[in-house]
Amino acid sequence: MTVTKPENRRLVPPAAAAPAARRRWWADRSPAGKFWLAVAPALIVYGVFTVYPMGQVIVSSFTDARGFNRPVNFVGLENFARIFSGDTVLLQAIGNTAIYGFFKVIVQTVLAFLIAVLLHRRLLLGNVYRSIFFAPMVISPVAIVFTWSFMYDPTTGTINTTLRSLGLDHLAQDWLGSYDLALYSVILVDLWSGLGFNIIIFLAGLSTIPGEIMEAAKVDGARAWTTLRYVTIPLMVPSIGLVLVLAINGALRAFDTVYLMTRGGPGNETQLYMTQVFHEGLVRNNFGYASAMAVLVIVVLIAIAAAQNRLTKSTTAEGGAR
Amino acid sequence: MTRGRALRLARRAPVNLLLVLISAVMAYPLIIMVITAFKSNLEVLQNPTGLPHEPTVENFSTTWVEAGFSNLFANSILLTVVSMTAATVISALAAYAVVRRLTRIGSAVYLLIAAGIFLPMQLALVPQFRVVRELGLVDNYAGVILIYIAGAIPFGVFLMAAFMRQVPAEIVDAAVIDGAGYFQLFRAIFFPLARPAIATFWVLQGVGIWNDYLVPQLLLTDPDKRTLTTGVLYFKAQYLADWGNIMAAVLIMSLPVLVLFVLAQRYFVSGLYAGAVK
Repeated sequence: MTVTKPENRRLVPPAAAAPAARRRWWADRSPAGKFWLAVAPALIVYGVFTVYPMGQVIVSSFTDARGFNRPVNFVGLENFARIFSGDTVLLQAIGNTAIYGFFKVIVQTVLAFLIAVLLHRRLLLGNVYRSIFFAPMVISPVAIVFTWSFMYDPTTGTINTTLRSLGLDHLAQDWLGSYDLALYSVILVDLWSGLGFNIIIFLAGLSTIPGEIMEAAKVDGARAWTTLRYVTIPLMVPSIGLVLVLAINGALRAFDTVYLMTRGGPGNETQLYMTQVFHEGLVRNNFGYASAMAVLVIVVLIAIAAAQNRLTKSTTAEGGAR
Repeated sequence: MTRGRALRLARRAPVNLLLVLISAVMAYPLIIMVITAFKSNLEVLQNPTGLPHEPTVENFSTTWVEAGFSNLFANSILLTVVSMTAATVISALAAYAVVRRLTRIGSAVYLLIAAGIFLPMQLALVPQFRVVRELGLVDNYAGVILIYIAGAIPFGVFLMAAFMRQVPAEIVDAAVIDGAGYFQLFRAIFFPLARPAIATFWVLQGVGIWNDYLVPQLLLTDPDKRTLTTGVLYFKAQYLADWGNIMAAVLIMSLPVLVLFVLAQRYFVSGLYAGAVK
């Protein structure tokens, strides 16, 4: 890998530089030339390993590409037509993604908001709580999935063992093997690992609310609940919007836990949109069809990103007016 | 005085109690991970939930020596450090270039690169694999590193450009009058001033690379080249339900990022927030 980096490593104070003595081969270039020289490494690596592969995904979505070395024919919009003509597994995956999204958008957001409100005040063990809530974010999906797999294990797992020792044998379940429960077991893992991120955003939002407003509410005799309902929540609308957008985004991108924990099973009970794309593309080798599914989700993600961009813009405008 | 204090504590008790309860639920999997790693295989079966009666470090010696985790550890460190070093230099240069070039082309290049933050790259793994194969880099660290660099550039450029935009124009003008060249200005002023952004970038993207399993799983087949994540995946496939050993492996993999997290929490928080607001 070649990095176009200036050879000169000594830190010369600018004033000491004698232009004539230390002329470099790029010294004569125009501002535009220097600009391209500086962005070239980034553009080349990014172009070859991100833009070009993504371009191939888009092109392949209009072909019947299968596997690696087979002839490829253009089929127009056939792949897209197939997506909308009722692929039963895909429909199931979309349904599962909707349930998953509901929990991520509603349950996780409400929980994170309440925890953030509790954490926002000065607390005795504030930093300890914070560390516990944030730590799952940095652990590898591999570590998270194996730990939870052990907890969920139907015979030796900690959850069932605890239930049995409490005499609640009838509540012990095959958490990941049951057709009714598997999806919710997977969702619980991702709620656990994703909660901290939302708490961070809410805490950042809460810290922008001026203390005087809260004081004023207190002086006026507002109870904690009234303050929350009529002062905190209205002022937190931008943060809440951001978290909701990110939750939808996250649900569409959700991949690791299902891929590592259940592979979409039992049956297709835990198959999500992204794992189904992966399954079609890499396992079943329907690369053209998988690419069409990928293009569709990218279009949705771009639309969400645009909406989010608008949201942050209006937020900053609001902040300026205050 | 003391009465007022006691009263305040009593009023706060419900909030603290609630937080203790929620934290206990949140901490439970982490606690399970740690205590299981110190149990013998037999004890995991007999006593899966409680504290270990006879704590043992045997699991760690088994994973570290027999399963070759020292090698995996070195591989993961090598991949993470090389990828992040190269990505930092490349991203900083590009950020510097777009910040100093206030033309339409400059902002178009910035937008093209920053747009990469939104792309879910699992979708492009097949064509990425093809590119790597065509370059003859399958089963070679260079292929994995290049994919990591490409994946890190968008966030790196976004973060560093945000910092470099705040460099006052007077400083730049003064340095130019003193005869500082284009790249000298980068090295002496812009790169050092972007240090907080670089720290955030290392902490966030570095952890992402350390934790990644998909790219090495697809590109590296040689057992000697496995990383910690793919090593643990393989280990799990071998040891199946030997949870003591598996949790020791998981703990070895997670410990560096957890320590880093405790030391650099504010970089995590500010970086995650910046990435989210983008």
